[in-house]
Amino acid sequence: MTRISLIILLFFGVIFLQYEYDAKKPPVDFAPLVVFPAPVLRFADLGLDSAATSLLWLNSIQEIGTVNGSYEGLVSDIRTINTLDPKFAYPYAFAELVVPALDPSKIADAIAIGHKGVKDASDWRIPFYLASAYLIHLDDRANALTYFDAAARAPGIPAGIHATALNFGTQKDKRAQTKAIWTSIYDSTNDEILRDQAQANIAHIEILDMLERAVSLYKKEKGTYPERAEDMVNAGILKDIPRDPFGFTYTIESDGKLKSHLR
Amino acid sequence: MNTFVHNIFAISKNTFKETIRNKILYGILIFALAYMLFTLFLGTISLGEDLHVIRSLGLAGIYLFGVIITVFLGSSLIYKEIERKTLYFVLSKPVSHAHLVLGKFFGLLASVSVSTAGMAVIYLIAVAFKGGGFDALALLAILYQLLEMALLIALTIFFSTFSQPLMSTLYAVLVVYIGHSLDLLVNAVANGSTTMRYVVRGIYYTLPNLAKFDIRNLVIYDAHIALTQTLLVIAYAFVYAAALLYMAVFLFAKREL
Repeated sequence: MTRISLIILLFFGVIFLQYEYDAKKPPVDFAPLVVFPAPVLRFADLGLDSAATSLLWLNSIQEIGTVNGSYEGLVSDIRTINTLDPKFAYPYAFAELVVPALDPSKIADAIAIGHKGVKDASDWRIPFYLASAYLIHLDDRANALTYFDAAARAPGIPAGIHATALNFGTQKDKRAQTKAIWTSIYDSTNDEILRDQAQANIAHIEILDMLERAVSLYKKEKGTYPERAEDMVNAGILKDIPRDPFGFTYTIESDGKLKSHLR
Repeated sequence: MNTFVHNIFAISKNTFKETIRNKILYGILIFALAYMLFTLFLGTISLGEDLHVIRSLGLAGIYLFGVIITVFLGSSLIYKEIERKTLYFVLSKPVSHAHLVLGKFFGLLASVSVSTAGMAVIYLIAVAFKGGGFDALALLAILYQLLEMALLIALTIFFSTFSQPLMSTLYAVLVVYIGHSLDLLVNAVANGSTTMRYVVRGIYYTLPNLAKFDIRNLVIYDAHIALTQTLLVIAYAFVYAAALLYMAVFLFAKREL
């Protein structure tokens, strides 16, 4: 019994001393973790590249906002992560969002990371965030359009975001500009897939224009807005309801505005 | 033929029992379990990349603990028999050196497979718990890993026929490192002299090239693994292990006990 009491007492002593030590020690900045270049890590990690990048990723995100976290550190970590494991998607997307937020003048780095991501990894978030970065930080609608379109075609994109990506630039006041960008893409490429994509987007915008014109005409003739798209067919304003290339269906709200739905 | 199979089976059964009861094995497996639970925690601090972190670190853990188990148990396998002088007793029976080497090989392979299967079950539960469903591709990565372990067991048995356990362990760890870096070595001398390139090519083809057993980085992204590739990897492990075991039998028989 005495022995057990002594052991317990000693352990209490250890806990007390550790507590006192922590309370008294002067504050010290920890040296940042040295991240070796990707070729060195590749040699050292026994081929376990994904596991090494997971650890590096965990370290990088813990440091953001701390005394050791810096824009340069984050960019360099993400470059190392994506050199070792080019398919690890989230770091690309994360860099596109966080790097310009940390330092807006470094948008070019974020864009470069995004471009590598679009090429090497397969994840809708990379083109989607890249498009957002182009739009928010550079007001570059042409590139935003290209990457929203790439995001809309990426596998696994959630339905709501899919509709947002497809509908980018289709608000009434932006439509003419967006149509002009798609037309220039259509005219300037020989890539069949890209041409089909441009054609579908142009058709989508033309359908929106046509339906809106038909709604106005219906209002002028009948005095009220149509309740359904079919009402305009019954009134002889439309021959039939056009089929949207992306599969959107349309309803008409009480104020005559079109609302699109993606099945 | 019957005696051959019977002897090998008896020795492998004995080796399996001996290694599976080893306290070091349980120590390593407890660490493996703690590590797997730790990956679940790491997943929660990864900004939504839980499954990626758990899968990559989980498969890496199964591999690293598998290598530790294989090297520690394998490097003393033959040496212990010589030290304890139990070998004289075994060889006084109608048992040849080949029976003993093959029996030890299959016995340890069974132990390593059972330990790996245990770790794999914990991994699969962790992935399913995090919403990743049944990770069937991981099982393929683990099968590839077992092929590498078979080659490593043959290698440690080969080393343990002529060196002490500590040296066998060291050699085996070095071969694991070099075996996973041969591609890098070839790339490093791509612009070197012709002689250098030929020397490195020679090393590349003769040393165990272990990178081919690593499909962990691919299965994490659900990449397709061609059947031909799998068959070639199985054949490589089989032929290389056969060569090492044959040399081990030869050296063992030459050794003056």
